[in-house]
Amino acid sequence: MKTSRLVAGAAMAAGVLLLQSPAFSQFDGQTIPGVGCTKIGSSGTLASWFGTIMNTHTSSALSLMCPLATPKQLTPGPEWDLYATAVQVFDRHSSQDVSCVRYSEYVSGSSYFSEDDPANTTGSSASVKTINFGAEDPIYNHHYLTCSLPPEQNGSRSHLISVQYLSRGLE
Amino acid sequence: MNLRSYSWIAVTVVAAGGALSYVHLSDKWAGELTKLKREISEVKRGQSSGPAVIREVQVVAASENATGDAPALAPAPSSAPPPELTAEEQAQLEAKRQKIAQARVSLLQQEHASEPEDAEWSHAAEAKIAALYSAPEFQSLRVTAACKYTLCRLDIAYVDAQEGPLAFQKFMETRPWSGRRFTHLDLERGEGSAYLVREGFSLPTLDPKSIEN
Repeated sequence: MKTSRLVAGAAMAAGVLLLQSPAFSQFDGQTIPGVGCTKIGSSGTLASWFGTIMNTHTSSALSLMCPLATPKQLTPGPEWDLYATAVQVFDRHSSQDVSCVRYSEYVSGSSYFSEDDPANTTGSSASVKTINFGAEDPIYNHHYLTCSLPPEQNGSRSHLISVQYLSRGLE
Repeated sequence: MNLRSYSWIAVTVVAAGGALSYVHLSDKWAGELTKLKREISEVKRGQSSGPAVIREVQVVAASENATGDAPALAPAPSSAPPPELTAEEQAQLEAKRQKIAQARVSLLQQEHASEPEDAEWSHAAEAKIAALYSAPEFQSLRVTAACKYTLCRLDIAYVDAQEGPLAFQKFMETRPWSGRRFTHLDLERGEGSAYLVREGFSLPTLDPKSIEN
């Protein structure tokens, strides 16, 4: 009897521990892969490479629009200046940059407020580059990016890898 | 099966449970460490910019109800998804957002009005803006520009309720140079202003302390 109680108790203890799920990872912004972006306009040629978007046109730039998901609406006060944006790219063109504009919009009644902020890479590289955007007023309802990928140059293609809304506190 | 076998089973089960518990705690402490790093960043930011700003409506209300004393350090944002706000809290937040937005408009108006012109840059910038927005796609949009030392103010207006918004959308997709821009438009009246900063300069930003009242 005592033995069976010991086994039952141990099994219950183990069961309780097994049922506990691991602590939820730090919920820090949203990352959207390049394939989540869409082509805008008619120039350039959109192609995908795994989860990235690339421009395979040999002379025209490719314009893209990408969603930018925030984990939640910022709260004016404690979350002022907390979130920023990072876009990861491959810039494989020696003279044209990957350029992006972050748009942030807020509509209240009949009033429309918007802030748009441009940024771009400098030079070309075989390595990943990050285009950073600073923080903004915590009023905007939604955000999106427009980016331009330069054309293919000597077989080298530029890619948009991912866009992320992230917490500056963790930089 | 004898007592010895049962004992071994019990030891094995407890050991497995202990290993799983260790993994669980490791993840938990990793999350706590990340949270702590964020708190440190917040404290540093608070030290460089002055007194800590007033915290979330819920946090302030809770701490006042609980102890009557203001917290020495504001709590870091939670890593868990935020609780749903009541309708009243939503309305308060919306009112605060509107206040911040209007404060930003006022700030930019004041900054632009107080700046001197740059004899070399201001008129050239105005000419560049005029050339860009005289293109056919902006026919339904009236754009007039006044450029000072670092800021250009572009007054926007449209009359045609169908073509005007389309021209305004095109306006938002186009820029005479690479600079941050803040735009405000009254959608009913079809009038507004945009403030475009000169390349190499920063757009004026609000001091959070000026809003926290």
